This record gives sequence, C-alpha cells and structure tokens, in this order.
Amino acid sequence: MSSDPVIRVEGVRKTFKLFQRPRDRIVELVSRRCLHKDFTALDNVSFTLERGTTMGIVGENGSGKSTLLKLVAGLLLPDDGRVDRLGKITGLLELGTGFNGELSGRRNIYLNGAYLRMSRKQLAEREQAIIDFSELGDFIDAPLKSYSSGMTMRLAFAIAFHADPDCFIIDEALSVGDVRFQQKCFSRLREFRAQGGAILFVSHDMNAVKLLCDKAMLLHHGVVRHLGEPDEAINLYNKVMAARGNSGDDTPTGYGNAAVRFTSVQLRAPDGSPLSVLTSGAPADIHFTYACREAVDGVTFGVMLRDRFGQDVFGTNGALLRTLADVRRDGRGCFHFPAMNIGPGVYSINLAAHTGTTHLENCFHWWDNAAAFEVVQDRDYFFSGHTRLSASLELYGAEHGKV
Amino acid sequence: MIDLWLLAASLCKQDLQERFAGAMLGSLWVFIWPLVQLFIYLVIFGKLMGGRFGGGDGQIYSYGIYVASGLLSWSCFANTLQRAARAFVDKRQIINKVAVDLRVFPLAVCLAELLPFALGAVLLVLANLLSGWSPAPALLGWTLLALYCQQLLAVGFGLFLACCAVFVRDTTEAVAIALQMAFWFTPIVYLPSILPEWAGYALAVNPMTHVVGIFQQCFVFGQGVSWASVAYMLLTSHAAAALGLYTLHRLNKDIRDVL
Repeated sequence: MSSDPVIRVEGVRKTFKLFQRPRDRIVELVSRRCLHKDFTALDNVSFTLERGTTMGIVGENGSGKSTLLKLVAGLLLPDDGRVDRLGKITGLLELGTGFNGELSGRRNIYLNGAYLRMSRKQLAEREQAIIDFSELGDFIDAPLKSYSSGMTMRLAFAIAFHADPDCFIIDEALSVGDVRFQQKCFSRLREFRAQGGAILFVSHDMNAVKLLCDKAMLLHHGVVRHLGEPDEAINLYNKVMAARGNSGDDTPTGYGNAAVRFTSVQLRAPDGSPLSVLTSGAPADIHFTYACREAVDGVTFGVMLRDRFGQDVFGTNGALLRTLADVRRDGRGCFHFPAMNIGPGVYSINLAAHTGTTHLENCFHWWDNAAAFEVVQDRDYFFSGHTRLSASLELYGAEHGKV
Repeated sequence: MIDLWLLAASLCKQDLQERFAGAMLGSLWVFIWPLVQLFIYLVIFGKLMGGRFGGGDGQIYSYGIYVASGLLSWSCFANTLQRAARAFVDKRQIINKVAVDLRVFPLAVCLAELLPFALGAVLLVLANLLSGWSPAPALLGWTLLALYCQQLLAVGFGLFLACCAVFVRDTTEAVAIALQMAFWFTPIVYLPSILPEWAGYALAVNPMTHVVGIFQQCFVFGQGVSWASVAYMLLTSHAAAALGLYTLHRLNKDIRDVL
C-alpha cells in the first residue's frame, strides 16, 4: 500500500520570464526581440509521494516551495519534466474558492464544492456532515457576509475536509481559527493519513515538520538539497540559514552611543557548528563579536531571549554573572547555555552593551532582534508550555507500570 | 470534455445566482431587462418612427420588431464578448487557487448570456404573434444556426481578447468602445438600404451584419436567407473560435504565470 504513489514529479524545471512591463510580453511575441530576463524557480526537482505518507517541504523564502506546490496542484505548468497526479488532490490553498458573501453558508457549500470537484450528489450527501464539522449550526442559512472571519474559515475547512481527496496540499494554512478548532483539524488530518491519505506540507514551522512528516525535502534556490529523513533536512536547513546569516548583508541596528558596538551574533552548537533550529533541552552557545571605538572600563554584555510575542523569556548579563569587561580593542564573547530548557517556538536574541546592571544608565549598544532561532520538541521528552521542567509521576494506591 | 461542459454549466448557474444574490426581486431581474427593452423598441420606437419604415405595410410595430430582433441578437453577442474578454482577469482568484481548464470561463459566460436571450426571444415571438405574424416561422431554424455562429464568434473572439487582457489591461476598456462602434456598423436601428454603396460593402465585412440579418429575415421580412451570408457567417465564426483556441494554447503557461 505504501508503495502506491499519488504524486510523481520527475525532473521538473520552471522558469519565469521577468518583464519590466507587462506589455513587453506582447511586444516580444510580435517582434521576437528578447525583452525578458529568465528566473529559474525550480530546476530538476523530482519526488514521489506515496499513499499514507506525509512529506514536508522546507526552505527559506524564495527557495521555490510555493512554485512547487502550484505545479503539483496544476495551477502552473512546468517548462520541462512532468508532474503526474494519480489521484484527486485538494489543496488547502483552495480554501473558500468561489465563496460569495451575499449567499447563505449552505449555498456556498455548493459553490466551493464545485471547485473542489465534488458532484451535487456528493455535496447533498455530505451537507449535514460539513455543517456539523463547521459548528455553524443555525448560522448556516445566514448570508456569508455576516460571518466572522473565523466562522468563514471553519466552513472552508469543513468543505475541504469532506472533499475526499487522495492527497492534501497544506501551505501554512492551519494557523487559523481558535486552538480547539485547529486541533480538530489536526486530528482529522491524522485520521486522513491513517486511512491512506497523503499529505504534502509546506511550513516554516520546523516543529510541525519534525512531528508530522515521514520524509522531508529541503529546497535551496530551486534545487533539491535533501530528500529523506526530516531530521536531516532540518539540520541542513540550519546550515543554509546560518550561512545566509553570515553573509553580512544586514548590519546591526539599534540604539546607544556606539562606544562599544556589536558586529555579529550567532547561535552555535557546542562543537562550533551554527544552529538555527535546536531541540528543546539541547546545549547552545550565543557567540558575539564587538567593535571598540573608545576604551571603556566595566562593560556589561547582556543577552535577552524573547518569544514571538516579544515577551521576555530569559535574560542575563555580565553584571549578574559577575563577568565585566574592560574593553580596549575589538573582541568577542560567548554566553554558554548547557541546556536550552525552553519550550518549542521561535525566539529572538537581543543583545546589549552598557555599564551597570541595566542598559538604562549608560547604554553603548542595544541590538533588537539580532538573530532568531527555533526550538523544536524533543521526541524523547514531550511537554507543553514554555519551560522545560523536569517532572516525574508517582502514583499511590493504584496499579501502575512503566509504558 | 464532458467535465468542461459540466463545470461550465455549474459556473453559469452560479453566475446567474450570484449576479442577483441579495437583490429583493432576485432572478426576476432576468425577465425585467428584456421586457423593458422590448417595451422601448416595440412601443416607443415603433410608434414614433414606424411610419417612416418602408416594407412594413403600415404596421405600427414593424419598425419596433425590426429593431427588437436585431437587438436581441446583438445584445447577447455584445454581452458575451465583453464579459468573456474580462473572464480571466475577473476570475484570477479562482485561477490562482484551483486547477481548471481556462476555456471554462468564457464558455460559462456564453451559457449564462443565453438565458436572457431565450427569454427575449420568447417575448419577441409572442409580440409577433399578437401583431399577426406574417413573416416566416419556417425561418426559425435558420435563427438557431445564426445564434450558434453569433455565440461562437463572441466566445472565440472573447477568448482571444481574454488572453490579451491578462497582459494588457487596457483591452477590456478598448473592447467596450469597439463594441459601441461596431453597433453602428451593424444594421440594427437603421436599414442597410439607407446607406451609400461603399458603406454597404463595409457592412458586409462585419459578420454580425449577416447574423442580425437572419434574425430580421425571420421576424420581419420573411424573404429567405442568402447562402453567401450563411457561408460567410459560418466561416468567420469558426475562424474566431480557432483564433481564440490557438491563442490560449500558445499562452496558457504564460497566462498562469502572470495571473
């Protein structure tokens, strides 16, 4: 069963012609002069997606992920190579296609369903199930324009889930609705996979890739850099992102009188290799370099980790760690973390150089969002929340055993 | 191919539903438009200008029916062409999200425009019967052929223009103006006989002259159909369809890239 492919992509190449003005395209057709520049979005990409498997596609922005999804969905046509769709493919990109605000939710089920290639008979059979899943109740007969955006998305998801595809294409779409509905969607997807459905999944959320995917592809500038184990793809992704960070195209910004200025920051593993994704509880070091314009005594270097909402998660500095610097020339330093005991999520690194215990008095340089990294779940120690506390469970007066 | 027609049919149904969704009179508007038009042309034009219209033998409705029969065909053609030319640009959200055969959109427009046409045609026949229809009911079959050519012309050319509109947005505006001019280049509100000879030749080049001519023959004159007219109409409409399909075939990939 698992060797039964749903999508087979072979040697696909996609080039976009970039024109300065849209009408140059017509001029070129007529005059046969070359007025465009070629941009190769994908080159020689091949993969197979079998039934019952989930494949993740990772890569930085502009690496060709979306183009690949559009090719697979049939929205774009390849210049070279072939895309075989051996089953019905529904994209969660197609959410709510053809919705009309003036019509009732019930009518919109039929509108959207037609685009998802569901027959009227199928729709009539599943209408009630869709309404139940969307939890819209009596609102289903109200015009769609009176719905909140959450209600609209719930309806759209409900229809997509009942379209009965052989393969779902998911493009970062699952971050809508409230948490409970999200979880309902996820469990529905798991059910779908267990029944032999395939999922093609694009995300920047390394945590989701690690947890959901059986295999992963790393795209880099339109070329497949890795296809196989998700862990390996994520490690390579790390390297790609870190290499980009080192290119030095973004110079440190922030405020301060710049007597001492940070020039670079990088998160590294203990062995010195750069990191952008790490497993919760793993060791990591924050390396920084600075430039000295004036000699200063008693400089405090500080670091603050913030979560994606900008809330402080952890911060410390030289004063608290009793390590002050008398800065005479350019130099470097490192904050060691023997165990990053924080929960999964994206964090930013913020740096400060000042005198005293806080940056409020005499600030040389405060560097906001100097770098970012992502923490993913440790497969061996699941937990929820922001902090990785050590915990164990002991039961009294009940039968129990180790699982 | 069957899928194409099925999807076009369901899009057409949606189109009609959506156009009048939220309106109090709903789909009644489909009936109201042809009724008002027919009233204008039959009563106002017919009454005011009927006397100056030769060949109608003094019937006050003759001129009105002449105008109405030409307009029935023209308005269906013009609406189809104009909306087909906008089809890709208007439906870009859908083309960007769902894999569909692009031909389906102009096709759906064509089907949707046939409904007001059919209603108008029924009303026109009723009006004809009320005024004691003397021309040739036998010619009704020819109007079906004319209708086929008229819509093929509109869809084929519309498909071509829809491809152009993706790259040059001015196309849709230009189409509106060109149609306005083409209206006066088609003998709908006047008789071709009032024109000087050279203008008559110019009119003959316009395929819609022949299409409209058949409708007028059927409802007003009843003199039969010229074979040359029919041949020219068939030739041009199929050429337009070929032009549209060829353009789409050549530009399919680019259209999807640009949208």
